[in-house]
Amino acid sequence: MECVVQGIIETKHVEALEILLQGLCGVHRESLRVHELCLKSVPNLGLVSSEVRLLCDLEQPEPTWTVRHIGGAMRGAGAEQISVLVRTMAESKVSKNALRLFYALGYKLDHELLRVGFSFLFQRGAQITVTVSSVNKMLKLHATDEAVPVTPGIQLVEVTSPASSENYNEVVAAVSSFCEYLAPLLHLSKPGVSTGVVPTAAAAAASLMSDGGGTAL
Amino acid sequence: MAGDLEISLDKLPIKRLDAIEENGLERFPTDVGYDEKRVNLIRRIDFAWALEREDPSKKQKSEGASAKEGATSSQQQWQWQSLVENLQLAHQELSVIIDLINTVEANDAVTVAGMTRPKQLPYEHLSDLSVSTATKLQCFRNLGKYFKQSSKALEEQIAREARFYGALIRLQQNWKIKRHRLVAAASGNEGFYIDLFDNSLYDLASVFRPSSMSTIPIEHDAAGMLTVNLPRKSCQSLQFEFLGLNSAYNLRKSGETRMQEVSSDSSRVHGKENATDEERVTEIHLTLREVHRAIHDEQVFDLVNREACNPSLRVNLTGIKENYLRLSIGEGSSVSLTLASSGQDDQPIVASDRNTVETSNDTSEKSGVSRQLGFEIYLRQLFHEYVFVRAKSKAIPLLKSQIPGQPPKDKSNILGHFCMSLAHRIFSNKVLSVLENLVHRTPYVQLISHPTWHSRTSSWTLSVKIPESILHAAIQIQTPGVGNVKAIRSQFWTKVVVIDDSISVQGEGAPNVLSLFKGKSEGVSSINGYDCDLADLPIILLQQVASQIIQWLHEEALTIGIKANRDFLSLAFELEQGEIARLVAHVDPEDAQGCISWWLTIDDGLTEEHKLRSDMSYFESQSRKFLGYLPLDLLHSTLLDFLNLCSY
Repeated sequence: MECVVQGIIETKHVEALEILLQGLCGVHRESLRVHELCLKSVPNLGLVSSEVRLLCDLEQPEPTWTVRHIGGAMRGAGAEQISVLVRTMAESKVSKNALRLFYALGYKLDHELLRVGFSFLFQRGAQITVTVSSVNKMLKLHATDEAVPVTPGIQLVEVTSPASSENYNEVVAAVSSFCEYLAPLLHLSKPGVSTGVVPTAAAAAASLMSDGGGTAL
Repeated sequence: MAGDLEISLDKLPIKRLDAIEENGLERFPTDVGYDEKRVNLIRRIDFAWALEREDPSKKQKSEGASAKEGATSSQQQWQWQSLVENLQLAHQELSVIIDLINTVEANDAVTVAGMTRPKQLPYEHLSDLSVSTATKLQCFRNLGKYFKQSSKALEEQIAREARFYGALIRLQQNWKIKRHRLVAAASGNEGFYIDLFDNSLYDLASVFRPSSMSTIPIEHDAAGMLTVNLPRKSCQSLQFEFLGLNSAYNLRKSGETRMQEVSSDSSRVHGKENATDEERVTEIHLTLREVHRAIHDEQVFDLVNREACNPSLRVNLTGIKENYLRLSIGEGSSVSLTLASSGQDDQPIVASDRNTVETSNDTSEKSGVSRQLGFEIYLRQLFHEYVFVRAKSKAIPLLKSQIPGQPPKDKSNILGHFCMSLAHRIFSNKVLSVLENLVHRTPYVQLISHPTWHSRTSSWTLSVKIPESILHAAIQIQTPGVGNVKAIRSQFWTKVVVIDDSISVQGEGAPNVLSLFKGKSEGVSSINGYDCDLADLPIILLQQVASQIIQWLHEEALTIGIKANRDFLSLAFELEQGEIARLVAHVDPEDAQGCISWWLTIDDGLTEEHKLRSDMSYFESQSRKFLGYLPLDLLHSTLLDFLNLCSY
């Protein structure tokens, strides 16, 4: 399982967000360049249709591949109340033949995208990963060099943390308390619940870029 | 008869002397109350004589009355006589009364309590009534006017109060608002104030110096709107600086811009008197947040102060002034922490003289600022997390989770952790630049960085990857029978982990020194790990990489059937004539061409010491040839050349 929240931020404030994250996490940022291929099963494959994502990390000198399956979100009254989406997620490193394997299994490429940005990985109550990336689409198949942004001027911020059915409450608490620190710059919510950009972002970014940025605390 | 009458009244209401003592001290009688005074005054009127006279006269009267009844017809003169007497008596009484009235009129100590007036005639009564009604009407009119005026004033007042209390209620949603009744009475204000002191930090309260800003009085402004007044100068903020690095001016500059922002902000507030309440409340929220932050900064600074004075692992206090701390964090770098007031007195001067420096290198400044800012936030964040949040969470489940005599481990050394993180960041940047430098000049080595999830650990992997083209070529050359024996490794890795300021290098492919002495090469591909310092790092890494390449060449040679022996940094081939050719790696981190260059030495196999000295010699001779930097494919083809030369 994983806990996840998302938000968007204007590209012009990303630098400020990076400073803030740097301070909050204490770790160095990691560059991010991921080619994401979303594969869907053809109708007669399996009992229900399934969707897997193949992630190719282009940041490494040698691209590494990961397959990820995102399952259904936790439902019910308890899940409604928390501000973080808890969903099942399984992922595994795979060899570079994975795409061929899935094609052979009967999956079809649904869409592909390229995420470019940075991430912070740190320990804070839970293992939290903050990813700030711009999502790009490819005009030609697999042409990652000619990708164009899907939403120019807007970047996606995603906070995820692995969890299990035993500890997800603590993880949710850790994630949501972390999200509060980002509040002046961006608002994070469950995926699918769009909250838009935060009106205070410009002021918060300006104060981060100029002074000690104390407003965040 | 009137001469007998004596009334002695005290006409003077002033205090009289009771006695004068011998030394001239005057004694006054003790104060008497109003009732007592009145009784005294009445007592002074001596009615005794009148009473005495009245009693016999009453007797006489009653006798007279009975006698009159008895002899009305017989004694006519007596009848007149009694009348005269009665008249005289009446006169007497009247004169007493008049005297009394006069006396009373002259003396204001006694008032006439009531007097019955003769009954008025109806028309008199009506006219009186009409006059008084007219007067009353006039009064009512005035009163009405007065009420109208005051209602208008009250409405204004209510509107003002509504503004004030509306704003107050909205502030109350986010801030703790309290009221001082005493202050309220004294200042004419309502005496509301905002309490910014966090009660949950009560057990830490002794640590902090009391802040003058923790209570902020709320006042009315001219328009009745709520305002908070605080001296701008008292708002202090924490500033963090790297010393020694040439980015010391960065924060000054930023301090200046911020200050301008603040001042323009305040002028906007003052200029915009007609700003909506919404905006005003937002402004106040902002101000309060600023103050709150300033208080937090002060507290963090205090805690840092406290910790800096305790001797700790890596932090040395090297300078201290009021609101200024200078800490050495090892490796010759130090940082300073300033609790700078955002007031406008001294800042611009500092800013202006630093401005000149900074225009020159604007690009490096940017990263400097972000890095310093990042650490500034990190410091605040650490203290927030480990002191304030802990204190709060401890305050709630205090009952079960408190073990006496066990202080929280990290609380005591947050500053140490911070400084070590800082030192680590500086150090790991140095390591990274070394690695990048190496990788830049050695094309077949790739650098991969790994997330470590920890602020005091960094990790990278150097991977040597043999290009597919060479491998494929090698496979094609291999004779089918031999090629299947062993797959050749195409990738070697070396892991560099930096924890705090110690580097550990772990890699495969380097020969085990012990097994080399024994003349065996089995132990070659085992994983070696060693610690080193920054100065040795390039050499060690290059040796590691070179030996990995030799390892690859060795495996390759064995696969294609060349008899080869490997040494630490050399590979020896036995040639047909019994000579031994060696391919020797030479590592030089300073070499701009390529960090690993190669020598070819040929000896007759008798002088063994060449083996040891070979990589130290820098001059060419007949038996040795400097090949220079060789890419992997050239190395591989060199190896193939040996195939022809070698004896089978």
